Amino acid sequence: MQRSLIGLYLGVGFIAGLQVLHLWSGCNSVSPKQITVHQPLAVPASNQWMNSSESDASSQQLLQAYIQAEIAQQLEAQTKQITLAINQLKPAQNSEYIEVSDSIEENNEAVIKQQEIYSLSMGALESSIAVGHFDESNALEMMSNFNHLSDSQKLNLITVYSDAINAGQIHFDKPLPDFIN
Amino acid sequence: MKLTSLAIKLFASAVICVASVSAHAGYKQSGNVEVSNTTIKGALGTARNSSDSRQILSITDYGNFVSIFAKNSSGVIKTCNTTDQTRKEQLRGATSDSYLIISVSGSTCSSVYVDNSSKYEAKR
Repeated sequence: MQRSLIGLYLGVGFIAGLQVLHLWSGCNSVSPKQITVHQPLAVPASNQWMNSSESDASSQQLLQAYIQAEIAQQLEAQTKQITLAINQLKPAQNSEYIEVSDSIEENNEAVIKQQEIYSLSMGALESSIAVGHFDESNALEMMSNFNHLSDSQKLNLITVYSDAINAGQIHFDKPLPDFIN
Repeated sequence: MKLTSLAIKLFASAVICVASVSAHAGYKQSGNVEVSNTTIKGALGTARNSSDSRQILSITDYGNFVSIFAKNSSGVIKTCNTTDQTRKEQLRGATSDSYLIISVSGSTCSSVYVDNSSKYEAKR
């Protein structure tokens, strides 16, 4: 969304620039008559043109006023377009932000929930190891929410269990997958 | 006449007996589950068909790792896990007739050997 907004700004700015350039070049190159209007100003020492300098100055003022008015009009129109576009984009941007925010929040909740399940499963296993007893109810407690764990959590849990089995800390003669719900 | 008929019956019986024996022929090897501190061995079919009702040999594929669980006829248990891609693929290639030899280090299956052969009995 930010990219499209930046793109819009750039596009509008580019169009405005082109129009200003167009106006500017139009003033400088439209006709030889207009060029002759500027020349006396550039060479005020010429006696031959001194008599017409007042009317030239007046024409130039008019021309400048016209250019200024035209630029102001164009800028106002462009500003309106930009404002309109921004107003159209803002609600969409806000709703998208809210959606992303909700998604992050849900994801965080899922991670927290997953961590809680892992802690409970690992806690059950470690308690059993501590007392040296592991039976079917412990296996069920440990494995009942196994599918909700992340891959690394599953591996950690099974590794701790395997270490305890191989070290003889607990004895359980049934395969753990039997207890996955 | 009766003698000839009796001879034919005896011959037919002999043929049937020979055919029956040849149906069970072929090289065979037992694959009872064996566990030690560092090894798990055994055939899945033999473990399944064993009369002691204790032997078990399991391969569990958890996705990111594969786990082996073994119990011999005395009830001794050994288990190991592997995240190694090659070992996981080896174990995924095992069938119910396979013979496994797994080296165990801690709770890790440090090496895996899977033998798919007619000499091991199939699960019944």
